[in-house]
Amino acid sequence: MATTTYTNYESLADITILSPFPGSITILFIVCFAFWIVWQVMQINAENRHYDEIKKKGHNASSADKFS
Amino acid sequence: MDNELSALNIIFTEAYYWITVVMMFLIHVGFCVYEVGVSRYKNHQHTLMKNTMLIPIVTITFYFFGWWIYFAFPNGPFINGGLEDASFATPIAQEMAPNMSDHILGVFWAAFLLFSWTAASIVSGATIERIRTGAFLILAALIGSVCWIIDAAWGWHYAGWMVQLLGYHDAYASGVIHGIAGGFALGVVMVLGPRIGKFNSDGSANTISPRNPWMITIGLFLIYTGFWGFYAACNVPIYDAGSDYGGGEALFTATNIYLQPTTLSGITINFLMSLSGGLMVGYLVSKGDAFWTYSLGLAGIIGASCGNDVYHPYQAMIIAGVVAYCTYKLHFWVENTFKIDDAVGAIAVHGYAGSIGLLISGFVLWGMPATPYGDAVVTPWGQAIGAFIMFFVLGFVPAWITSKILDGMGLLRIPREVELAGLDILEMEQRAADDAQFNKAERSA
Repeated sequence: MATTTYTNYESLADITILSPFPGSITILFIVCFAFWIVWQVMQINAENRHYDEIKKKGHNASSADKFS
Repeated sequence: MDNELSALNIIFTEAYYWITVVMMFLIHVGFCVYEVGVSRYKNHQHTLMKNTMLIPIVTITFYFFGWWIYFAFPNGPFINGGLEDASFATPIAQEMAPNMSDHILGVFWAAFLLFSWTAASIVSGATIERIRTGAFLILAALIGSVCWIIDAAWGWHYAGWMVQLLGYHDAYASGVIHGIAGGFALGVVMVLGPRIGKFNSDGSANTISPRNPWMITIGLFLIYTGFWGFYAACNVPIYDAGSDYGGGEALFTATNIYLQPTTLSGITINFLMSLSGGLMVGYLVSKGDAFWTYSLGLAGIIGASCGNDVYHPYQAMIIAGVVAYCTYKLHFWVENTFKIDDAVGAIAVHGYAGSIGLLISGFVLWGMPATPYGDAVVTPWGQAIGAFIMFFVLGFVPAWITSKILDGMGLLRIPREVELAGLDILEMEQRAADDAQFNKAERSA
């Protein structure tokens, strides 16, 4: 069992790609691309909740004065 | 690499770009320090996180599609030919991973990526204290992994159609990075609008003083430092130009991004002379104001950058001074005339300075070969059209359209109540509560 295309360095000149699971690059790309899209959606939702909370608490222009 | 000489050449080049990447990281550190210094206390954390999170977003999107665009789009496509084969730069290419058959592609990718961060970070500064982080990150991916890299393929590639057809020359990215980022920032800011209180009802502008001017100056010093890496990264350190196009006999030299000969020594002098010209004029025109003196030092470098591979140091210094003066005057004229809230002067220092520098270079470099691989020469009209494409076509227009869409979806600007209270108000409240609880525990212990 080996996840890489090489199991020793006896034929170093024949070794090209070093990373494991070299046949899975397309699947990994799809997973990572999807993660990016999902992350953007989650970030926007979290940001909306953050702003809603500020509005709900009734903060105003002088709210930050007591902390500065 | 089957002999020591070729191994030395390849590994030196690999290490060379690697070091430029580390140095260019300081540009982003500088931008973060700078933005926190400019922003008001109630917005510090969100300002910092907005600029920090562009790092992963632009990095992964540049890996997904940005790098491929650079090699696939030199012809437009369909302006001077079709799509180029760039299979080695796709997100599923074996070369885009640890690979014994290629030592350069990864560090070259990283050097370009750091340019992408810079382009996005310039936009970040102009939009502080009122843009939503989510909207900014979408815009950051657009400029960092699409718009700027298209302009790099067009005007910063030896085979780019702007180089081949217009004679466009922009060795250290006056327009390729700074012009486009300034134009992009202007497009966003025009839709976003000014910060509440920036302009009075009679149209006069208020100065929103930076929270910490000394952080700003340290930030700009860091940007200057990182800029050394930027300049070095725009060069190819060792290239056999003689065998390639220079007469047939081996003649190794450093080249610019177009593979035209230059020297690291020469661009080092010009970097310092253009910085000096910008600083000296900036000091005079701003009456010694630290913010503007530092900013106009940067504007001086940016303005001279397009020709700093060949300018005489005196030319670099004079051009930088002229650019710094024009940038300062233009910033306030635009602010007062069009009510544009360019919060950190980014549109001016990058967009105006880069574009003005390109216009000047068209006259100073008139007739110089624009490429070793064709007959195109630098002309005033070629540089002017190039500046327009960078600032307006690839910068302003996509930013304005995307911002309009985001604004229409209610995703561009933070709510008014949040802007007044401060983006960090909940975190400040929580910190105060934590401190109170800790103090109480400390006293009772």
